Amino acid sequence: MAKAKNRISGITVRGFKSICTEQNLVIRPLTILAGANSSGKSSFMQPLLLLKQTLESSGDPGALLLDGPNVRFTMAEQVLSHLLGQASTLEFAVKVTLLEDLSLELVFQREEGKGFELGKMIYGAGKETTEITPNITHDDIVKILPPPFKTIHKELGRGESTGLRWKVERQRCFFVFELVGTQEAKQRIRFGPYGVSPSQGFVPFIQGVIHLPGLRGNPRRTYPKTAGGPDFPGTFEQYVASIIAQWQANGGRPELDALGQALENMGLTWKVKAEPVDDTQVEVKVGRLTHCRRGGAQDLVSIADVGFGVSQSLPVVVALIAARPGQLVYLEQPEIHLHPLAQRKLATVLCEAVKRDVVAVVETHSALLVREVQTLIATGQLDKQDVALHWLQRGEQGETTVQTANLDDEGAYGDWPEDFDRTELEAEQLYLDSVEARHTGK
Amino acid sequence: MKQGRLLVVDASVARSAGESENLVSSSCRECLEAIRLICHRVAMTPDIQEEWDRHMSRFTRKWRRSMAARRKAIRRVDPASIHLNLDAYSASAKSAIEKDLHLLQAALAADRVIVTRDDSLRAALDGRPDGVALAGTIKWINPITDDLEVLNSL
Repeated sequence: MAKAKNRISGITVRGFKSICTEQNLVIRPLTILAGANSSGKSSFMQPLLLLKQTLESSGDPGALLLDGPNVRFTMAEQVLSHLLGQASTLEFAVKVTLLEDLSLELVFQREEGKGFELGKMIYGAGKETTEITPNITHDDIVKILPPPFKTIHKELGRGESTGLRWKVERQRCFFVFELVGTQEAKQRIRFGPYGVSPSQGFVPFIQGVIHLPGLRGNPRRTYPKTAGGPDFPGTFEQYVASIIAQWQANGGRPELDALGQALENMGLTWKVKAEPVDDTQVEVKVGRLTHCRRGGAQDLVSIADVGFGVSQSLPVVVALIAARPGQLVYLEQPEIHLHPLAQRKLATVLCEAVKRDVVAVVETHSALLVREVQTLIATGQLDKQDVALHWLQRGEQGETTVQTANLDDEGAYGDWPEDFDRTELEAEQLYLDSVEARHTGK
Repeated sequence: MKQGRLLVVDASVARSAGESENLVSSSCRECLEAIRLICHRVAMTPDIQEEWDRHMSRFTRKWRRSMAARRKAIRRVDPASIHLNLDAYSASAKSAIEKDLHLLQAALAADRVIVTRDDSLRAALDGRPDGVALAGTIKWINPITDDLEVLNSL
């Protein structure tokens, strides 16, 4: 499998919900977001999801589609930061950084009655940044056009394109340089309005995000037939049945084997089969037993008839297998409904995805999952450089801060905020103290 | 941040921490937790490791795991050599010293602190001048009888 040359390598957010001051998340092939409830884990990924759902919207959503399939807001106030006792901020910003040292920062400003308008777009290439605002003039645009676009401008500046001028237009959540001209110039040129934007290089990575929310719905008897990728608009769970059906139809043996093996290792089932019911619906059947037995190939039942563990973790495993190198898979609470053993084995599934250069961003409360990732590093199965471990917490004013652990060769994270370990030790201590108190009659 | 010290923790503390013995166990748990929170580290020799492994409880397993994850444990140390004229000690003192000699060897190779709930080693050393001299170079902490605040001032 080809390694991805480029991918999202960082997300920076400010002014968004509890993330008041600028906070940065380094994104590595396996990025773990941990922290207490409401510490800001989901909030960190929501700006990226807002961009995704804005880009995927079929109509004209304006600068940001607030209420969409991935994130649901109804008012700008719900999005903007406000500290305890202080008024809301008037803007928020999100910066997406790519591995190739390119970045795109978008500053959205609150606009009464409209939600948000794009106020500023800052394109970074290495150390150079270019600030793009809606009212910059043709001459300014020519000065700030990044090198690839200057070449275009130079070419267009010759001959028949005389009289054409650059201007900034907003297209969805980005600014675009559009070449416009007089009627006369327009008649002379052979092509329509020409738009280029530094954002174009970022669109595949943002739109390509695979989003699997924490609430993945009840298992169903049948699922609607959908497209099978490579991009998955909206949330991912709706595509699972059709992806499996497509793997079967295309002879996708490696994917099906990987799927069966992962689910079997997790102690859930050894086989998954998608059966078209009619032209519009697919049924997902799973092996009733966790391991392969003689005659077990026919021992399949509907996914609606087995425990939630299978139906909730199936989309997780399918997403990680279906993702292409460099594609970001955002998994919210992949451990829900899973037995501790399955939570541990989930780390191996993530590890396999990392080896294919998939980018898995995992929001989790599972101490076991984190521990298993540490073990995979300590045993050399996972490179510490491929893992980012972020701890999110809120201060007294309610503001989110991010603390990033530097894992060593043993998977140890050093002085990280107390939480999982402390909670577990306190629970143990409290139980043993209680037993001790009963023995002594206190 | 306070610089942690490299301590020797007797397996007797580990064993008690996982039990529910009146007052003793909770004191041992508090002691281990204080060591973790103050960011001391724990020295292990093969002998101490073996004893710990034998007495590992659910609590101490989680404690050790947390120490390891926070890079606070477990430092392997080579046992230091001890020069005591054991034949000069009484039979019972000699037996007590031999039983826990590995704690002394580890402490001398680490930061000369022994956390133990068993005072018999120290008492045995008190029987002879060379033992008194050796014991005097070591900070002894008994989690049952000592104020755990002492861990803060190491």
